[in-house]
Amino acid sequence: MAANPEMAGMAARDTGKDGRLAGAVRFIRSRNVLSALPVLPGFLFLVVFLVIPLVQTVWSSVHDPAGSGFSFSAFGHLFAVPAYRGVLWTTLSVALWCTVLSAGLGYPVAVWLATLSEKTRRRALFLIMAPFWTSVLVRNFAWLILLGRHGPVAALMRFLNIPGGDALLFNRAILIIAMVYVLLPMSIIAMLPAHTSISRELLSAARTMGARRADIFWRIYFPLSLRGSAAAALLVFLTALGFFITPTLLGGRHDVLLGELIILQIDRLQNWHFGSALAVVIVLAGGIAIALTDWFFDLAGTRPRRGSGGRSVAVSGLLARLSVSAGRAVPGFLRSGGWEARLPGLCSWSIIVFLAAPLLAIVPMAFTRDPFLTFPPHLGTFHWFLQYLRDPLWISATFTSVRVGLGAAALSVVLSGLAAFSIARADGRLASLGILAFMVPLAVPPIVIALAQFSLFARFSMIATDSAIMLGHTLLCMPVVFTILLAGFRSYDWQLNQAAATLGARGSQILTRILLPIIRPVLVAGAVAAFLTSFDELTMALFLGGGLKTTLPKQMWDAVLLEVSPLLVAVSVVVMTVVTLLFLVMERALTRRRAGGPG
Amino acid sequence: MIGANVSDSRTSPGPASESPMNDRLQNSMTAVSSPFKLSIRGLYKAYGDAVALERVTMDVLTGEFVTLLGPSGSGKSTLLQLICGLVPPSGGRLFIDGADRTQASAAERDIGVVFQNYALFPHLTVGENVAFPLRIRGLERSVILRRMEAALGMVGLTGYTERMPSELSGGQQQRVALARCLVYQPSLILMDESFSALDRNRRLVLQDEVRRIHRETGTTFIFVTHDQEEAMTMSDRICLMNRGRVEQFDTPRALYDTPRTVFAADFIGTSTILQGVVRPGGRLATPVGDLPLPDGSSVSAGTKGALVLRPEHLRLHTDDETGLRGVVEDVTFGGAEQRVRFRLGNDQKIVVQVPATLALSAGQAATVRWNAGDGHFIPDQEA
Repeated sequence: MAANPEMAGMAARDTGKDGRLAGAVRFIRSRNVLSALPVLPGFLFLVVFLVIPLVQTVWSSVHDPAGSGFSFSAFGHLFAVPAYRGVLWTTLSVALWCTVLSAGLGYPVAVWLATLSEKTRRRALFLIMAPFWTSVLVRNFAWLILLGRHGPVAALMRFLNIPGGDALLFNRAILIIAMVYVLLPMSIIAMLPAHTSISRELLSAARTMGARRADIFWRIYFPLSLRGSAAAALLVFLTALGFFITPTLLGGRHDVLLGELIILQIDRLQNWHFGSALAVVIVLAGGIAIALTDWFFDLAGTRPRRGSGGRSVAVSGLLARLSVSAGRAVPGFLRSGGWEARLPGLCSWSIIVFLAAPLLAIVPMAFTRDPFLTFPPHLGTFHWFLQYLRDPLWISATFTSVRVGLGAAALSVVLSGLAAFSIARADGRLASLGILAFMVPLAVPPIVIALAQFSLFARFSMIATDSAIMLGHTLLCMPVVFTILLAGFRSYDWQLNQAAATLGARGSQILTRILLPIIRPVLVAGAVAAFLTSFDELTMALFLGGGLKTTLPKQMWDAVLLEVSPLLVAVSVVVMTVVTLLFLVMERALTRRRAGGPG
Repeated sequence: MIGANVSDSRTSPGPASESPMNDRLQNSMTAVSSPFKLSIRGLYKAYGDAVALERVTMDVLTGEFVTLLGPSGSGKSTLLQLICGLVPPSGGRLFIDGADRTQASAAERDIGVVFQNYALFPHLTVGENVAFPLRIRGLERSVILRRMEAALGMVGLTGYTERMPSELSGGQQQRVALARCLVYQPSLILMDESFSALDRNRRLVLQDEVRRIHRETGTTFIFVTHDQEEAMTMSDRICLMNRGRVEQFDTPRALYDTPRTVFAADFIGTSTILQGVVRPGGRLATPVGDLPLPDGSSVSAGTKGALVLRPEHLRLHTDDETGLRGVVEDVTFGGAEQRVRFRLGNDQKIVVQVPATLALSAGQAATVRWNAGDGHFIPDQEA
């Protein structure tokens, strides 16, 4: 009997105390505990580089630097001074505008993408993903050139005798347009899974029951896509809250956002107390947005159907009736042409053109022979590219970015990979919590994270080191990599491991001969995504670089604040090329995996 | 079957009282070479409070073809996974060739498993898939090549070496999975619902091939299915399972002719089951009347139980008044014979098989009769 511990454990169960011990042994031996181990490194990383710095930030926001203990003076200050109140109000309203526009424009694109075949969808997605992975700086920069005093649009308006061509920039409207331009691809990509997961059979089923197109859309499709779309909109809102690049470059004198105010407080005034308070306000605003969205749309999908379902069913029923009567008002020849069916396609192509055109439009200007950016440019030289290559400042910044990017990619793939590996096979509440934990960095704007981490790295004299920027970037990369790898491990057929085991393979052989070769493309895609995230990142580099360590985005930022020069366009073209190539590598890796081919 | 130790969980003793028998068995097995390929003693599996498989004790002879048959959720796949060593048992022991393998890993058990969805490695060619177990064992390249080609030849896939699994049909993938097992010559091959994804014709062809391979190699096969027809045609013995328990472990014929439980009678083939109580005269009192029990069933009066009647043992008469009276409800044509659903007085349905030549129509009145000896009585089992 004693030779068989299982039996011994069973026998002991009846005798109380020993039973509990045996139960504990069984619990540890059961793989639940052991299989959670790989999550630990990533989890610890989140605690050290996100949770603790955030707690620290909250702490310093409610502690007067003069040393008089607890004080909410910073928050009082924020609400008492009209200028600051104005900034808070502007930030919220701009973020809301961006959310409504990005979700509203993104929704029809997602609807349209979901109707395409897998292959066509990947091609169309490329046109949306390429701008998404292109540096935020470059994307803002394009507007500066195109709408600038000497840009092509101003030239066109002069030609057509339309006044106002010299005042296109630096106002609320262009700020919101440029922010939507940055946020829209993210909105579409975040929304898409909710749309592709709706079974087409449901729609056919509704059609066989005699439902009209409007009924099908509003009563079936819309409610089913609502939760995922709301989550995407939430993500857009959270991101918009922390923006500072776009408002700094394109906003008007009165369009100051919280992000800019933080930079001002920290960078110019060294007022950490007030800066921290502003960061806490951003986090609180984000938290309230999350809570409201969850209350209304039940993001986790855990509440019983009746509550929120009833609400949205009633709303969509109303919309169905409205749009059916609106449809009747439309002239018959339009209706018979199936214009409703073509609408999402038309919208989507306009949006895709809107996303791609500004980036493509600036490319020729990198080849100008003029010393300044004018329109029309006189083309035909590689002078500016050569200047970039010859300038040690630019080249060293480029190498710093590559080093930091590679480090962040390696570290985030290891941390998120281990976590995704074990979470992919778990289910239930604990797994959902694990997924949530790795998504948290997405909910906190980078500017807040950067500010929070500054004091952590300062304590270890790590400011202005590659390592600090790399660790900061790793935190930002983790949710991105985790999402990609989790999907990869989820689609992995774990029975292959069992099959290999029955065929005589040991654990290490299963890992090196089966799991890793099959999962490798996903690891590559995750690493590339992480590298791209880091390569493009400015906020962390700005803070943690301490003004000394210069990455490529930081160098571009300094240059653009000084002058919008052809050299900067040339650098932008270089960045766009690198990003597009890497993006192609990532896409290839992922599609090849889907095809299941040998390589 | 000689030496077949059949027991199900209800009658199997607990772990304490079981151990003397266990010891004896173990001693005898380690001393002399065992006739049993596989011996299971009180093996069970529970997930928390949910019991997936109650204690099972069974023996499988070397070279035997055994099927685990049962509806979904009956515990047959759990039992298979315990035998594979892919899932650790909650208790009990498992012997392969007389040696205790309860704690051995899947790799150490000298078994081959054909998975339900084949589990072919998608990044390897057909040839590499089949060669995989040999590579793992570090065999010489020329030996690997020869045995890989032989195994593919055995399943009729010569020339498919360079194909990718995704290029093959379901039936071909199934053959590759089988070849991947055969190539390293395990003495026990387990197949989990392996044919369930195939269409009927392919399934029949593969059934034949598996039986041929079984004959040619002498390998012991344990086959899991929910298809009773498949189980009947392929197996030496069937282990019928239900709700995590073994209902009966017997030859297909014994399972059909003398089912030991109402579930077995109901699951295997078509039957009419009439519940009742045995009268002092030796007849069974049922709602449709007193019915004769089979010869030689010396059941004491007052016993509750069920009378099982197979369609082919029943006779339908339209010109005779003796027997149970009723009405023809539905007739299904089946080639040489036809099946009649017959309704007795109090709505009890009874299925009768009659020659196709007999002209019958729905609503027709008739009587049904059978030889008392053809019935089969199953006394209720008090747990």
